[in-house]
Amino acid sequence: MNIIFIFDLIASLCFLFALVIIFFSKKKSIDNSSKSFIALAIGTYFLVGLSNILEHGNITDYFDLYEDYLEILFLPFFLFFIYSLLIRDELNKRIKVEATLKEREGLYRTLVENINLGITLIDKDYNILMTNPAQGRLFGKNYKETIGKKCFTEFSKNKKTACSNCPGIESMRTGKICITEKDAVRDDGSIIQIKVRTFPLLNNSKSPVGFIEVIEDLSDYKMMEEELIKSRKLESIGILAGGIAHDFNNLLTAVIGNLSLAKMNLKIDDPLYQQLSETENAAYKAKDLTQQLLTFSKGGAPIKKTTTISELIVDSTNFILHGTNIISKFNIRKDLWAIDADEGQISQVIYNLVTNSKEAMPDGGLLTVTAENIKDAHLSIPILKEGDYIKITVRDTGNGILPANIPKIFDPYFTTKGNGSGLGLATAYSIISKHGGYITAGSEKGNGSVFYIYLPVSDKEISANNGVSEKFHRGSGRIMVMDDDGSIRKVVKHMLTKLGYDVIAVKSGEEAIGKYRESLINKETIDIVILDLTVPGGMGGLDTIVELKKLNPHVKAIVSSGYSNDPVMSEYGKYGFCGVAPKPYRFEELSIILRKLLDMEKNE
Amino acid sequence: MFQETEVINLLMGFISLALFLVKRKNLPRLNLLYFGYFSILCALVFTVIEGVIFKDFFNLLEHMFYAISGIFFAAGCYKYFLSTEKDPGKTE
Repeated sequence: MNIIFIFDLIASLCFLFALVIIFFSKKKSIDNSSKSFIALAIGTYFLVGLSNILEHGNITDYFDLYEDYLEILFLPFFLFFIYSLLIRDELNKRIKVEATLKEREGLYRTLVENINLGITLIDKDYNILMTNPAQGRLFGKNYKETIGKKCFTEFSKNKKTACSNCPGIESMRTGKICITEKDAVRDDGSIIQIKVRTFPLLNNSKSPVGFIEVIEDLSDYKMMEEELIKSRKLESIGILAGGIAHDFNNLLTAVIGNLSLAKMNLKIDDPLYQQLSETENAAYKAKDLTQQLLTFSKGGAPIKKTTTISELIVDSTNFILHGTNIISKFNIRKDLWAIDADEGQISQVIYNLVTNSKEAMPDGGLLTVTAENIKDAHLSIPILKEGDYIKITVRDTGNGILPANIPKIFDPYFTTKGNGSGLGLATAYSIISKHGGYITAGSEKGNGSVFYIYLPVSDKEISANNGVSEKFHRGSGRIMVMDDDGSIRKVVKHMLTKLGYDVIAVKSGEEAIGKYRESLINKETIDIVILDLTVPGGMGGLDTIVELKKLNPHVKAIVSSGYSNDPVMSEYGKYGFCGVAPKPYRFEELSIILRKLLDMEKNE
Repeated sequence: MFQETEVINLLMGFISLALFLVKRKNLPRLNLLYFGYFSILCALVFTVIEGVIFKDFFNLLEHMFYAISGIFFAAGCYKYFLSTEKDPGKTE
């Protein structure tokens, strides 16, 4: 057996082995045509090898005749194999590019279809080439149906010709972005405020072939802007009103105090006692009026406590409707959530709304008051902060409000009534805003009006009722009163002396500190200090308590002010005070506070 | 003496080699198969040379390269068509 025979045997066996592998291969990375060509190429050499074996093994040289032709076939088959690999490579590349394009198109589509901006591609003949679902939602249309139609027939008030001030045309003319704000009409006839940005579409030679229109719905933004303007308007009026109310409250303190003192000197059946009581009532009404003015004051905060307002709503409504021919209907949830509220102020809101309804129904009618719990109210009313709210609805069957007047009804001094002050709804708005809530109105002329109030739910427990009785509480002890107003000092001193207290009256913080220090040296303890919060040109209550605390960390002090909406008044404990007495005083209440503090001291 | 078919075969071999070299960057990495192909080209060269000089020596080389080529093709086919190794379809 010669060496050539062995080589041929090896070659043939190897080629045969390769052929078998190709035949049984299931690998999909190499396609069938490539496999066929390589199989043919290898097959030719297997036959060449076989022919050589037969020849060199001296079996037959018959196949030697065909050997050369078989050899010639190898190269074309191998070239076809390579060629098919190249084609496959090209195909793979193309498939990859197409997949990338598809993926990118998918991303663009996702972006365009999910963005909350209306996007439309328009050619220079105003034909809509492409648009997105947001555009359809904005105009209340099926966006797919608008494609191929003229933009002005689909998205403008004027349905026949192109808009005279079309921003798209302007963009194509100037080659720049054009931004405009305008009103648009939805398919249902409602008007929305929109911001339109147009971008020119240029071809390779930089000539305009159309434009892209991007539309933003400004309704929510405008609503917030109007709210801001309204708040600012109220704020500036509040600064003025707050100043007036403060002075007025100081005067009322003296008036009410003197009236109370005068009444204490009279018997209850004395005719003068009745007259004084009526005068006192009038003074309290004047106090309510100043309270309304104070709610406008800058930075004012209601003196809140955690409470449910179901009873308050019913009581306030019935009180106003008493004696009228208006039927009231209540639909208040028994499990109405508790809120943090200044009951007096919320009562004021109900009072103002119901009074409004009463005046709108001079011949009688139906007033429905609903109170319900709303979970995640911010989802339906975007202006609200996140959280749960209670919703109070006051609906009447009166004349209603003209739609044009609705945006103005919460403006101060806006009134459609001849004798109206224009402060009622403005006060309601201000109070609700300061409670972190929201008030809105709706109406159709002739079909009555409806007011919706949203108030945030409290996360605290309901505080216990103090059960304050309207009686003078006598007591004993030494009280120091600090107030810059001489008439207030006089009347408070007189009143407290009458109740059994030993009273020191001072006009400023400096004087109060001096007297307190003296009392400590002389061991003549001052039990309670009543401090006026604001002293023009002198040391006010806030600075005074700091100094007094240095002298005696356990000093008991009550803060008093005509600015009843000052944050110190609503959160007096934070500032080191033990109690609060808003001016004008209800002396009965002041006497209760004093007794309570003194009792507390004794218990300690 | 030269045989006509052998010369044609050799010419075709050179043409295919030229094409292969031009397109080699676009081809998948099937190196064992290409080595088998080069071995056959070598065998073709030796086939032609054996007609001129050292007939026995070059004849031996020719058959030896056929055997080498068979080994490369068998190994190549095993590697690229049967084994579970990574996809050879990646171009260079």
